[in-house]
Amino acid sequence: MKRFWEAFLIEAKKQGIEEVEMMMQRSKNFSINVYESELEKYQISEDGGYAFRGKVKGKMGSVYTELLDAELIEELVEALIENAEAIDSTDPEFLYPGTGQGMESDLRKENKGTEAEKIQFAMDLERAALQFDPRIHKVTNSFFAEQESEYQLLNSHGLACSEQDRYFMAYSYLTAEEENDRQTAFAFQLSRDFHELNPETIAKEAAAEAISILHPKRISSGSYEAILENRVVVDFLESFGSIFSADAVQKGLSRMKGKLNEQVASKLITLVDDPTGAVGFLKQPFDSEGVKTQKKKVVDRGILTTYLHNLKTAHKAGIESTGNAHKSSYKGSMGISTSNFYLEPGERSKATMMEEMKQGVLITEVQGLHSGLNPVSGDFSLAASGFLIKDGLKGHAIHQITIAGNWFQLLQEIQEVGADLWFGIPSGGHFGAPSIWLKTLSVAGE
Amino acid sequence: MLISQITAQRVLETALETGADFSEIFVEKKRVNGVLMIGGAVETVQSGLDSGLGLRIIFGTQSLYGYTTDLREESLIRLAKTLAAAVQEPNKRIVKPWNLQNEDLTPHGIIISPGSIHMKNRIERMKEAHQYASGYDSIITQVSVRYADAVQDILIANSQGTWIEDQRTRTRFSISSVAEYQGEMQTGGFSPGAAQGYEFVRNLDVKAVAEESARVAVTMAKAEPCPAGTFPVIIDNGFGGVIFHEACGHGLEATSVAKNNSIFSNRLGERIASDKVTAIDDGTIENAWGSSVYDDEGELQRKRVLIERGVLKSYMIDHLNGKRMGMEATGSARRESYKYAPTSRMSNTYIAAGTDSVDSIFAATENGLYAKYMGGGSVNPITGEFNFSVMEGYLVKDGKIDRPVRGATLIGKGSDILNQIDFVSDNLAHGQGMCGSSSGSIPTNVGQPMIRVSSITVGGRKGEEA
Repeated sequence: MKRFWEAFLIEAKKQGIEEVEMMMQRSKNFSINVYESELEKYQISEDGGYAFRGKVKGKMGSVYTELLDAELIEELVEALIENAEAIDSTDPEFLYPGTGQGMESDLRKENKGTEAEKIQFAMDLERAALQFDPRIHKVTNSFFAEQESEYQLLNSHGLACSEQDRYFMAYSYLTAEEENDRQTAFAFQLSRDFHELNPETIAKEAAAEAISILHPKRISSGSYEAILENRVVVDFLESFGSIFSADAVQKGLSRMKGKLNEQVASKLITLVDDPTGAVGFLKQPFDSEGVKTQKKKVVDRGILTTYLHNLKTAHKAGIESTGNAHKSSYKGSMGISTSNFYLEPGERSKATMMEEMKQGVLITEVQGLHSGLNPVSGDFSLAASGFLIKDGLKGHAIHQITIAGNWFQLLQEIQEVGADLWFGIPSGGHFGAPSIWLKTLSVAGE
Repeated sequence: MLISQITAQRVLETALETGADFSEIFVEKKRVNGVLMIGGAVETVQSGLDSGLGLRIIFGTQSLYGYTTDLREESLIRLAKTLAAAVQEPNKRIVKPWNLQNEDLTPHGIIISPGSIHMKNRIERMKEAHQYASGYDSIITQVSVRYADAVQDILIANSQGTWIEDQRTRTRFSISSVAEYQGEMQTGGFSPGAAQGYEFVRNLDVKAVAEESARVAVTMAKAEPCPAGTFPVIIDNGFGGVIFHEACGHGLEATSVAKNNSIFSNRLGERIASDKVTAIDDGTIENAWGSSVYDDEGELQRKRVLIERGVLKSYMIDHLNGKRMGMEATGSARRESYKYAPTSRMSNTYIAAGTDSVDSIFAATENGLYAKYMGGGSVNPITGEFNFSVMEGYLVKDGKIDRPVRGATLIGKGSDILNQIDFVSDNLAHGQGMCGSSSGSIPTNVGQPMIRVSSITVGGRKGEEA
């Protein structure tokens, strides 16, 4: 790899490019699925890719390859130049002149476990779910996966960042069935230590949930008091994750434009971006441009305190990068992202809030986030399910309703933020939130 | 050739050493280009080369899968050995000789390969699109245009003698317009695509697509919120077929049928839809977005009649699930790349043309919703519950289009909807989408003529009944 990079530097120079960068990403994966006590799927892989960026007359060209072949270098540099020349944007581009740093997660061998233990784990995961209750009719998927990853970021200014990480993940996806009604549920765990995963805990969580939502009823349309459960709030935070990106703001694609230091949400709302890994799963000492990251409040008691920047947007705004440059993989293009991003919890439990609310709905799942929600306007209209709250307690399950409103308006009108901070399964980000109490939520049902 | 026949033979043999029933390799080399233009200026240009091999070993109904970007023979043999070690069975199978009668089947001819054109050619048409959309109305505040093309060379070889090489070319052009009116921002967008090269974009009516995206954004920005309730819903042709794709199509894939997870499991020959409904999945439509010559197990793509006049005729089946179900594969195995084991997926799926006229459909609808363009949606294949957003919607009053409404969502159960389709028009059209499932994200067409569903729950921002 080092030789490839050196050869690339020489070829780039030959073709007139002085400033170049290489990002290398490699991973080793192992995953299994158990179905009806049989190892249904078994998967191993080793893959990775190399992304190159280079400044050509002030414009940034990019190109990637999964094939590390010296004969490709000339072609890669040519493509990089052709791509850079096609760019119109006149915003100044930067390759970071820092020195870089390393990050190594806890990769101790004793945390890894053996293959036999992992297969047993997935078997136990299925069995624990089936034993939980006779109504657990089928466990569609008992899944275990691990990934070891390696990352390097080098540039012609001498930047050298490296990162090594490893994680283990397991989930159970199952169906409860009773009297012609079927309901599905999902639960997972994620850890850097295999031995911290517990099949019983995961199976119980998924099974108990599937059973609790059996025999749902519809409710009539109207306006309800509501609690959005933590994982629903996580879905919303994730869907609206891009609104704090300075790039979206500068392009006029975010409602947060022009709102710096203004009240954008209720005083109960504090949103934190924390790359340290103290809260949340992600540990990220440097961002995708090699800039050191930092913990910060993005919204502090309702006041928007900062946008999230990379080098390009920060230069445009006349400030320093906040260390939020993000490139999802060697195939992606440079953008901006949150790290561990969460809503700071309040003090009271969900049960206490329900007790005080007396009548209303508890929304535990929303669907169709990629289409039923407009991240620009904040409008949403989503299929949802959950429970009726009756006399302060969880009542029967409800389904086939839609909830609608405007996210920005909800954030202004929020009644209370609960204590139950929870982080979702990472999908392009690492979002966390507690449950929230809303005075009114528009529900369409029967 | 992506890898030599000798290497392929050795890898497949090694994979069978511990007694597996079947081994298969999928090798690909894919060149991709992507351009993003925002506000008329090219923001990013990316090109790349994907290259790797996926090895699958099947033992009974167990599937072992491995992939790597390292195509050296010693690395591939190592992968095969590691993977095979998970199986232990005394009876060893052998690799059958290749059937190398590689017929030259190219029903999806490519005229201008993406590899032969310059970035500038792609950008010219993007600029035109930007101009048409941004010039459409003064309340258009932002226009984004994307261009993506890919040329994928594949090799599929297996222990039963299959040796297939093919090249698949796809091009897609997307435009999205944002309109802002009295503080309300709304988006309209279209993403036409085809199994074609640059000729697709050269021949595309960029003006029509761009102006239509702007018109939708402007109309919706000025529209009032959609009332919630349960109404008859008229869904227009083309991308409206996404409702069948999500609500029913996924439930007919062997992936969910084989494990009895689908509401349509064990129901072949039964009536599952209104007799107005004939539904087809056809992977052979010339140059269509979801077409290919072969599926990703090396079977020839074909036309499958899924539902005929309301009666369930066929599922979409891959080899492994076919084994579970005791049924033949239908050429429906697909995968995003070498990183995914193939499974049964849709190709170009649509509701066939009926005989009702558009006028008669409106005339029969006293009070309802007209969904001119659908947005995306999703489904839980086990319960059949789906949700869709409506990109451009109108209220229908007394058989006529009344006024535009925004923010409508349709929810329901696939099995109910199929029985509630009471009108099917004759204006079949197709739209393009990317479908995500267990074997990754793949290009699929959705399609239908205008249909009416007699009753769907509509969620909207106005909480009261219409």
